[in-house]
Amino acid sequence: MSDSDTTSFEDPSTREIVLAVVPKITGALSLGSSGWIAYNVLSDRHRRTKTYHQLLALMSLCDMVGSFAYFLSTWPIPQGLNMGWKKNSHIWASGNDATCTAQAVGIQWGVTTAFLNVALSAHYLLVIRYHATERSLQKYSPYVMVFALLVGLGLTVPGIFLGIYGNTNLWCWISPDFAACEEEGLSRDDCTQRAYNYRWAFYYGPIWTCIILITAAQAALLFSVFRSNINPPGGTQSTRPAKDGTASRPRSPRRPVGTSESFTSRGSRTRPLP
Amino acid sequence: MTGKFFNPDTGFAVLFLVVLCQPSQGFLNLFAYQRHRIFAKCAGCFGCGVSGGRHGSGSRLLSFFVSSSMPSKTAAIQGSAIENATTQNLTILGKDSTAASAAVPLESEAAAIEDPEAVVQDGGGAIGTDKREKGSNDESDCLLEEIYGD
Repeated sequence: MSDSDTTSFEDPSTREIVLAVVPKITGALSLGSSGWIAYNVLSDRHRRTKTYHQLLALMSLCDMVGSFAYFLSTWPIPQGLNMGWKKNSHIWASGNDATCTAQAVGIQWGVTTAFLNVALSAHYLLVIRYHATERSLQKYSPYVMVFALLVGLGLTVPGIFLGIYGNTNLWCWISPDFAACEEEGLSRDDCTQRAYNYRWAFYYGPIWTCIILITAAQAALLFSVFRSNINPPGGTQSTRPAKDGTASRPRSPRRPVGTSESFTSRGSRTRPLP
Repeated sequence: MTGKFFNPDTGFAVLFLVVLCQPSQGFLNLFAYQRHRIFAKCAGCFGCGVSGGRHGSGSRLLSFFVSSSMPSKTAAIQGSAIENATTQNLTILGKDSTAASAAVPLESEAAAIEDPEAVVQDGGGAIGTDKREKGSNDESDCLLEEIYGD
């Protein structure tokens, strides 16, 4: 067998290397990107005060945890665990049960990002469609952020106590524990099905819920934007009275408020310089 | 998702897709965060390359994304250039610069005219408050490049 044959893509070990290396690249890229966003927001005093940027920063920080977990790829998998497809220890696997669980928690924590995405989507909708002010958003944003974090914890921590985290060949995540299932008298198929159910309960289910919510919010947003574009210019300007009774600035009928400054405080735009 | 556990022998393509896409969320977030820069660049190139192409549907779509960063960009243009920028922005939005559309300045621009300094401070977009002096703008087709170009 020539060297080219042994290093070809047909060789499972080469595939194993590829599947171990790629998450390191994409995970590092994601980690760096999220870090850049977080730094960009947190280093700017003005952005730090904005709801949009706060959500974005929190989302990026949460994503950094997940990205780092992906970056580790096969490293935290328990060394010598013989669950690979080649009956060998996984490539570069040098962890133990604790590191495996830690990585699984990090990956599972990524579900928090999805909920923060929903919050961000709701933010767009509230600002653009319902013309919510920055002040009113700031009133509720801490609750939303805490809620998202609690949901993330609620979907991550129980897995530790249920003992559902383990080696999934690519990295550690929710996996069937055949040894434990055997003790419980479950067949291999039942064990696999149970892991699959856990995945749906703790990951796929919440993710799909978020996808549906985000899609609905974006559809509503798109609809309102198109509707505002269809409206004839000049005929839809209105001066909606502000809370203090003064008339606000007329809105552009061509572009709804928020498409341009959706992430800024409308009230603070004309505020004098500090 | 399919209820099937893949291994590299039977489902390498699926696993490769997973390891390629799943950890990339942060990178995609950055792409979305910096979309106005990216789309502005694309729209600028497109506008320069194809004469009159800004009125196409693709260009309008690009303009929609670009428009989300208008205030911070508009804020970057100060003083005598603001009025000129207002006209430019209307053109960038892919709309005909008719009297009707020009008669209704965008809110951000109205604010910029009212109080340019305050708007500069409120550059809430991702680009932030990078101030670019544009003292004398020529009438050019490459408007996006002129305003947003790095």
